[in-house]
Amino acid sequence: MSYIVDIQNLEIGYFKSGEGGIPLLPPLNLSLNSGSLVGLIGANGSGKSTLLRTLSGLASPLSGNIFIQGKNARDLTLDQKAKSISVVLTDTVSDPYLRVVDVVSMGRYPYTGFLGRLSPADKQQINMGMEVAGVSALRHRPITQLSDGERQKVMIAKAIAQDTPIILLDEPAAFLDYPSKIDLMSLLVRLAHHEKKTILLSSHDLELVLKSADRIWLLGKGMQAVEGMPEKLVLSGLIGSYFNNTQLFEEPDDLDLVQWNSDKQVIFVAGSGSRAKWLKHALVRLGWRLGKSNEHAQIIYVKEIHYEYVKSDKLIIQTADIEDLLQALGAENC
Amino acid sequence: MFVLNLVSGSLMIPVADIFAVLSGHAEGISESTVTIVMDFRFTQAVTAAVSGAGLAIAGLLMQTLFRNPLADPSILGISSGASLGVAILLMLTGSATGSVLVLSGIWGSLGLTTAAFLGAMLVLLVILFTSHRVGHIVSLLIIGIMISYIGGALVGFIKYYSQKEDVYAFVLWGMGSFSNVGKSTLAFYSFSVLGGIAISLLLAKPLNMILLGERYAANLGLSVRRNQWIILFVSGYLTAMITAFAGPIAFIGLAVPHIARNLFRTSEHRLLLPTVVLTGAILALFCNWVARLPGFDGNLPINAVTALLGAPMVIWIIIRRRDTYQNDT
Repeated sequence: MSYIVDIQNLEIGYFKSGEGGIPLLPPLNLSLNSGSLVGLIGANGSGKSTLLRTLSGLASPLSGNIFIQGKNARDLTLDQKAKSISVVLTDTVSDPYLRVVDVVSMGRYPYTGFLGRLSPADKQQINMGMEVAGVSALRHRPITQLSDGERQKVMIAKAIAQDTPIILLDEPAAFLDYPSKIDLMSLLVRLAHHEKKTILLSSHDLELVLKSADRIWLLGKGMQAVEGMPEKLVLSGLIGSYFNNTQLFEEPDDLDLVQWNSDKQVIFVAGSGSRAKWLKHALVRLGWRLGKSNEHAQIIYVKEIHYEYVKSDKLIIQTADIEDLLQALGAENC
Repeated sequence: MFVLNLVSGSLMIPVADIFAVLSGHAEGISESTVTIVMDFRFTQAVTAAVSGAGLAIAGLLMQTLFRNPLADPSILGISSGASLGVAILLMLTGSATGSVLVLSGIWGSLGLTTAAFLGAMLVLLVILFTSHRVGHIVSLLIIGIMISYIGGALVGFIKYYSQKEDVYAFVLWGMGSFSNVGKSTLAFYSFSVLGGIAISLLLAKPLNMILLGERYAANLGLSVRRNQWIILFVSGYLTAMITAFAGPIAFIGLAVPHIARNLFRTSEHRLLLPTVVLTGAILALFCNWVARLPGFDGNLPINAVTALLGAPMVIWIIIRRRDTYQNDT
């Protein structure tokens, strides 16, 4: 299986005059699958922003390699990078005369000539970007007048206009109120699952990332980075250990689960306790609707140490691993 | 505005005569009239237009580069470098010969221009050299302002030890004037400045990207450092050239980009650059015309006019902009 982004023995950090490179983390070996939404989480100062900057080429790696669509990032020109990776940063655009459409249009600059003239195809892509991000109605508004949530969506529209397979976002949900956060994340989920964009976003809003991301990259100062399915990382207790605080977040209630899309059928989870709760969490995240009784065709029994997946009274799989379970579920229903 | 500059002056010359002279049909018109129109008024009008356009462009480049609406061509200390060059020249010649020969004759004005140009270029070189060593562009802004202070302080020292007449000559130069460019140097001066303006017109795309900030610009494939350097060089070169010939002219570089942005409500440099060139030329011609209005006898320093016009304009734009933008929401 080839990854769209493949990180091999990458050391990130900063350069200090006289001492050379100061690494923030042990060498990283991580990869991204095409069309997935990956959440980059970790305590402050764990190197999230540095990693995003290094991946996007805004900072130099201390050592190691990044392969983007099979090519070493070191061999890519600025132009090639601009067409592979777009970024949404925490930097604010402060020019009062820049309108939404101006900012989104700049996403096309890697494709335009010396003077930056836009072709009809460019304009179409710009309109599409604003349409998908839901900011078409704001197109003539100055960027400085938008709310934080609207501004983030404009920068995402710019990233869509830039037409890159990979989008990196640094703390896109910071400073947003709860409805705006949900709005933003559902846009990103849609981009990943429907537009097949590969999205890596950093956030310190643990709950939000767990609810929406397909995979989690977990960073901790000086610790080996961990990668995995959100619920699995929670149940293994790893997330708690990376945040030095096991009581950091509560177990999810059925009521505050967010259904990003519901393209799958109804399934009933029989059982209670922490493992059942996180299983429901994962099912809702993946687009399942939760049933109310065991009269449904598909049932998952949460037992002492393992899960049993039953479809039409037939046992499909019995496993202790939540990831294996969900894989079997997906294979059975695709 | 250009015509207005040609027509008005301390001596009344019929408009028909002026056009006759300009189109080369000077039969029957006195020689002194031809001289006034061609050597003085025409030369001065061209100088004003070219200088105004160049300063305005330099101001726009600085404001975009530093993403600071208060930046102007003098912000990097290039004008104060020119001042220092002139001050040193005045002091050296003054104390060496004991006389005020500086402003007399062609050698005097040529020496003045050369000294100003050398001073300005020296500061520009220092800035370009440091630009590679500072981490952030704002640091460069601060360094530029500090160089301005150092230049100003050194000029102060020199003034203190100079003769009264030399100080007067320096003050005169510092007021700015579009009449320092002679007939013989007009072509050289115009081409030098227009060349800089032409290059800047090609920078629209990098300038637009820089508006988003350095990191967004880099992600869009812009070689940020190299383009910052080019922008710095072009605006520094324009400022050095114009200050050397016309003296440190204030406010045109600061005000014109604001006027242009407000005119079209845009920051799109493909539109902004040509607008700034035109507006800069027109405003400079207007200021020059005001300075030569009857009663002032051409003695009104151009800097007094540009500041009196430019400063209220910027204030007005800022206030008006706030109102309109609030109505938009």
